[in-house]
Amino acid sequence: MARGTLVSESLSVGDDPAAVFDLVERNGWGDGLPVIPPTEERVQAMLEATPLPPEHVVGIVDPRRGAATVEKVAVNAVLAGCAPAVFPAVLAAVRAVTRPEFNLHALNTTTCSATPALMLNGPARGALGIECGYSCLGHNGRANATIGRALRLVMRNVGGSIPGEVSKSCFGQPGRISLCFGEWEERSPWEPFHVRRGFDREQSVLTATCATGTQDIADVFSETGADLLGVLAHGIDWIGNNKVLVPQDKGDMLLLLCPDFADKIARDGYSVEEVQQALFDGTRTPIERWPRGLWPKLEERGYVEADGTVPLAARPDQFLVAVAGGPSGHHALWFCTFGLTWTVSVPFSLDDASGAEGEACELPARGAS
Amino acid sequence: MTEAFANLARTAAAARACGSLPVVVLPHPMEGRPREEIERIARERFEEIVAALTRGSGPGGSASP
Repeated sequence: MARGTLVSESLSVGDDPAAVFDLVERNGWGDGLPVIPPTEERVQAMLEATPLPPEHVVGIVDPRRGAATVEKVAVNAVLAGCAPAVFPAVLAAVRAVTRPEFNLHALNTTTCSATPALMLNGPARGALGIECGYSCLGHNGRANATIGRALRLVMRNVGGSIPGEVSKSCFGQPGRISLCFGEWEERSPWEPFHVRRGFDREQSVLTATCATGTQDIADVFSETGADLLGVLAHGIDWIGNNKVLVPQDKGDMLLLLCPDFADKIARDGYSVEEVQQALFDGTRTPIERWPRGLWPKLEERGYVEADGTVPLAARPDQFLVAVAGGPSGHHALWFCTFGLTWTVSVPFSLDDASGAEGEACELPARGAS
Repeated sequence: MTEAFANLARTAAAARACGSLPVVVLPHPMEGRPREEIERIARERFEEIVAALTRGSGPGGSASP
């Protein structure tokens, strides 16, 4: 059943997927990969997946400040290859990244490679076929790939994030095609990520966090949780990461532990809070690691502690922890942040319009800024 | 703003209905330049910046190229 008359401009093109692909690329609407033609029939089918009216504004997308209406998101979701069933997750992603604290304007324009990394929790993972294990960050699963891609197309086509013209990202990154996965809650020795953020276990939640890339951290030597945490800390405290460029009390960073790493750490009695503390303590880098010529600039910015260390963060709770990845083990995965952005979690439902008005769990105070 | 960001700035300004903001475009990048060089650029562009700040920017105003 049609959800009303679409207001998007309608174009006629030959009944040939390649012709549609050419049209999309010529107009700068795509990401270089083939698309699904957003026919009226397909867009209407996508709209059927939400009770929200097509004209409802999900969010305002910077820097162009385009209105991401449900219809516009649906068009981009079809282009991306989304099945209608995942559309509520795409809407949640747009809601999350258009929250002021996420600072989408910066991600869409920055010189670094920042992109939203989307993590799903709750029952939607199973219902939508969200991959949480092997290759969950890429190269596995239509839902993972298309939800992330749909968001990126909205960021481009509604927000205006055109490479070079508006997006000043020096390199871009593969995650700017898509970056979406699920937490493997069932293999986590701790409470699921969304529960720790204040949501109910049975709520479906989408979390958007900033990722300038995906940093694999490997370890086969550590026999204790303490040693492993030491490796992880030094796997993320490299001085060229973008987080170092901003005040230490800005931004949070998500570290994914494979199930085996999480088990090893938890087996030795670490709670998530203690993991966060260990990462905080372990990423206080001696200033001697920096070239001496940079010391005055670090000092004049107030980045150097009295003990001569340069912390990566001001508080342990800026290190976020979740469990994902295959049971083959030996790896963690860090999303370095560009810094001036906060991770946002929003609830969503596959059945109704709950969360449509941006209902989100009240997050703990972030401390003095 | 610096040259590399000029078109972004104009896009963002237009999106906020501030398309007539007076702008001065500086060389890119500015970071990483020696202090003396930044001071030289500032001296060279000072008059232009003052003019942009003090010029009227009503409907008839226009931004520097």
